[in-house]
Amino acid sequence: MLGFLTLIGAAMAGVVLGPADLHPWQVIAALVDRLPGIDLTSDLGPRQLDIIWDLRLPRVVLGALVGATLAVCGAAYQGVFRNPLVDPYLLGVAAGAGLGATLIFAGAAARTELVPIAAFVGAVGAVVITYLVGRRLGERTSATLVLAGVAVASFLTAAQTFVQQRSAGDLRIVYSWILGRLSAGWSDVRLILPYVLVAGFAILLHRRLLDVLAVGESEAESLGLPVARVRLIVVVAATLGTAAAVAVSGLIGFVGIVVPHTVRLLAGNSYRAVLPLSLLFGGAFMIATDLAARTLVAPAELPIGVVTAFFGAPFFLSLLRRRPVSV
Amino acid sequence: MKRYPIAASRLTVEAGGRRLLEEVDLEVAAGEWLGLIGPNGAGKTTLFRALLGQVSSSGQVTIEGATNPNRRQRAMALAYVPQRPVLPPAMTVAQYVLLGRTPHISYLRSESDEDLAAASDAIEALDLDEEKDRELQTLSGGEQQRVILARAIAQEARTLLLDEPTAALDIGHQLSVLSLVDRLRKERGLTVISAIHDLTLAAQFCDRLLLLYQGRVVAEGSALEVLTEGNIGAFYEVRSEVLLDGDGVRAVLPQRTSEEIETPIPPRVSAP
Repeated sequence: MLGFLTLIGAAMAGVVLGPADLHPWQVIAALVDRLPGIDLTSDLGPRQLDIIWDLRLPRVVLGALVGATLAVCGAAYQGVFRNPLVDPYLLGVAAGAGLGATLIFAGAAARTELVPIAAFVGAVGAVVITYLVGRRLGERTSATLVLAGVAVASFLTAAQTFVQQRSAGDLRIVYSWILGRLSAGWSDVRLILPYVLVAGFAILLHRRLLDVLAVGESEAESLGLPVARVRLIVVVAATLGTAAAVAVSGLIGFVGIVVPHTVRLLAGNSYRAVLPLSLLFGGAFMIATDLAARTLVAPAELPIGVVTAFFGAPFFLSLLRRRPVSV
Repeated sequence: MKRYPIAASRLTVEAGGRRLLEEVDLEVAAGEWLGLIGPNGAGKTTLFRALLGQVSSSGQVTIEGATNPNRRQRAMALAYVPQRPVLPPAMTVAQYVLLGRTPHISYLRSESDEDLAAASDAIEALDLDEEKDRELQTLSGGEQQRVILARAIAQEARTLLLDEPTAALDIGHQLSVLSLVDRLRKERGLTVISAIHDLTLAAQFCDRLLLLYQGRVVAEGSALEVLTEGNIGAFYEVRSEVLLDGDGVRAVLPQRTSEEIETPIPPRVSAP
């Protein structure tokens, strides 16, 4: 309930506030006006309405989707790997996406509309490589998979840096992409919506099973849980979701760790609470930080990844002081 | 032929070119308490893992009529308590006991009223009503052992596999946990297979003992038949005195070896 209110509150604030000087009540009136059966006049001109409908609202929706996805996928990865320090970029998603995007910026700079696709392909490809390498290494335990992910990620990051250095002119674009940003416009929302819906749905369906997995792989198996299958499904879903989010927003850090842990501190460790609440608070958190990113130094914008870390880290530390985290 | 709830024949487990278990034959009768004894590394835990289907093995395992059953069939029939169970942080007793119902719940469903009832019945049977909202980490060792047994009882499997259920407990709690297992076994008609290091406790609680040594069964039968000074000397490499009590074994007393007595342990800090 609190989660819903926070999300709605953040969404309202995200739509209502912004550099184009619109009166909050007018914006609310304009929104309510669109509801069927209600007729309100908001005194806003068509240009201002366009700002609301085509700039602010899609950006808020995109922020909610990206934040919710990163938070849920982070929580899911933490559950599968039973490791509190795992984030959604663990198995190479970030490095793969970075390499994909950099290749487009450096090789086909005129076609930046390909960046999300290249990033998505890079992200998914990196995780597939990690998975195959992890399997070849022998025992299919989650520890080998994590270590394979670390190695693959380092390798791809090195490749990305190499490409980036060769085309120094694009350094700035690549850099700002890596720091993350949310675009305004419905096209990105349409692009990722199917993936994040499927991923979020699949992960939420497994919430009880992630609780069973908390007793460890061997005991979960003795309780009849098909551990390998659960792990595969959740990792695939979380990878798809994260890859889609990263493809349109760049590498926004911190959300996937901080939001789930904040939820755990408030609501306990059961994934039945952690997953849905991460979804809501993740969305709200992202809208709020995006709002800060575009208003603090208006009319310029801060990279959103900087804001998430800048405000998220101290907030998280203050929570930790009150109660140590465990998974 | 008599039907045994748990049977294995020529069960063999190999790992890394080593035979951890070699042609083990096993038959456990319904309601029986079988004690697995043997020195560290003899294959007791491997035998559990082979029965649970967690290691690849050759030979045949029959569990409640099913030959080489699948994971779910095994989980319905066998409740396993490992030597060091994982107690997830910040999980309450009630949540943990409910995990025992996992084999009864289909893949993506949640618990039914029946599952909740079975879990609270198990909590009651182990006298944990007052503890049910406490977090696992806040419990004492004896309470934790009761909670773990409660999870196994909630599983409603007919056989309990207990790997060293008393390893971390003082003698008072060792006795009370084993008595509890015995009471549950009799009340609920359970079969128990437990690995146990303490030979005196093994003699007092188990109906039958199976002595494993380097992956093989080297002795099998009543405590009187298995716990002989000869067997203990040969397989534990310990000289011992076995105290008898009518027709049973009352205690196994390990003896300090004479060499040890003759050569005292050197002092840790030598005088200058």
